[in-house]
Amino acid sequence: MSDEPINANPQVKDVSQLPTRLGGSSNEDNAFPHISYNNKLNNTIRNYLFEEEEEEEENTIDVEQKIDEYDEPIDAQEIYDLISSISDPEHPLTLGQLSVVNLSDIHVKHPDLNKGYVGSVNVKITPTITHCSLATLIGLGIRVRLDRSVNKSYRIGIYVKEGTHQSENQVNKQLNDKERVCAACENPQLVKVVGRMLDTCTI
Amino acid sequence: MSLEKIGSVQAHAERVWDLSTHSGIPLLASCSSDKTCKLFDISNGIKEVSKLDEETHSKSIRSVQFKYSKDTTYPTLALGSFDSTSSIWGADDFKSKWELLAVVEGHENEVKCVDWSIDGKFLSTCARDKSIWIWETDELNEEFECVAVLSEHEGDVKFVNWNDKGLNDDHTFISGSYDDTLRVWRQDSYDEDEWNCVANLSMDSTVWSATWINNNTILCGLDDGRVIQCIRKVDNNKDGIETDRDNLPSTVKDVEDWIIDKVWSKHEGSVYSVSCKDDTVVSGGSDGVIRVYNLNGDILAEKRLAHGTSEVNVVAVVKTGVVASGGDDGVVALWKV
Repeated sequence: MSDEPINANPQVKDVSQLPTRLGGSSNEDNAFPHISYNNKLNNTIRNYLFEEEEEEEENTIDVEQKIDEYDEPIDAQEIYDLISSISDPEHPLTLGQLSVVNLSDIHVKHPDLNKGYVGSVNVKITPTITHCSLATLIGLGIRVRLDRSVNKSYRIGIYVKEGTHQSENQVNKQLNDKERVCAACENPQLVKVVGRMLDTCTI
Repeated sequence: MSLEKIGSVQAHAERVWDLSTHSGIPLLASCSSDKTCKLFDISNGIKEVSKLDEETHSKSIRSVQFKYSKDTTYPTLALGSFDSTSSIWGADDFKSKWELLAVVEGHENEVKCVDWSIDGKFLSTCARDKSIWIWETDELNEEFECVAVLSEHEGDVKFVNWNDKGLNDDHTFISGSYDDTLRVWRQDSYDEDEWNCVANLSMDSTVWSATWINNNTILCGLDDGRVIQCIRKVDNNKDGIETDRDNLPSTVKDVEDWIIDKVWSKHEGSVYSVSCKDDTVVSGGSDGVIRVYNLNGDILAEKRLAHGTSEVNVVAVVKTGVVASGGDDGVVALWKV
């Protein structure tokens, strides 16, 4: 990555504008709504994830059973909460703030395990500029995050939103090629960059 | 009809990438992103008999392939790894310790597949670097000399698969790629150091896997879910003028007439693996479905969620009516129609 950001002046949304189910009201501190809410959001996510992780460690069998039986359906908002807090690789902002990730572009199809069908989670990302070379990296970050957090009965699909990228097909193909994603996850440099992006989600 | 599970083992801590069955011994090999390769006795159920040295590969082992042999002694296998190297292993017999015979290096990045010619003379390896390397080897499999580098693919080469349905000296193989093509390669009949791409079929989707049904029929598994049959049109009239072919330019004389013939079935996700042996054919993929067919493509049996909610990465026919599978759950399972 060069020192010059590829998109130096992106459009930024305030965190309080983002759709969420996490955290409470954002009007507690009117002087610095952004900062206070941001902290709160991060804490809530941290607690949320921490609890989940603890549960997993305590009782692996239970978790496995849970996966098999699949009792708690997920929804688009939950997926949004998981990925909107990922950091952009070149701005100190989240994918939610940059509107790279939007709630309306997340689609969840529930599995029907009794009939033998797995479900799916499809996310369409909107790169900040049409030639953004970081689109693949952002997509990889989202995939890693969802692969780690979402129940295995959902297949994850990550695509660039139609008309928002010059090499749409190329990026889509790469992001959904299991073998390439797995190989990328064994590349120490990439793992480091993705890790930094996911730091703000405190996995 | 459903498939009956006749054996299952938690073979690996992480995803099982590939499986191979030995042609002379009831032996199954599995490899995984946990960087190990294990061997199982499948004469009665499935029992682990050995594990290859773990220090050899520093990244996922993506591919495993036994060398073809009807003997019960000196089994040999090859591994291909994301660490860009391949390794060759041998043992005295079924249960003795496996020794590392050779490490084959040359690719720039992840090796995706390794396969032996049926006479054991050649090993092919392919990688994300878009190339296929052909290695000539000695009988002991300690020396490997690169005799050809084929760089015609325009994307990762996902697999190479030698024709195992033809004659012993038939040096023909197929390759599939991220560039959405399936290619057929043959050793030149005059210059044995030349390898020609005799067919290039566009599939409009990544070609993950392919298997030989017979000399003139290939079955492919595609990323878009199709299990598709390709055939070679052998025109009797054309064969008649074969004697004149010497006069044609070299680029023309080797082109064969392969066509996409019919779709056998459609999975609801990527078809990562297809396999054919004896009169049984099987396909498996990311939808978790394993489907068994006869040689005409009629579906004989199907198993949904074969590895729970995990994806199926590999299926392999063990013998008529018996197939093995490996999934993201690290499990290796045996099934009967």
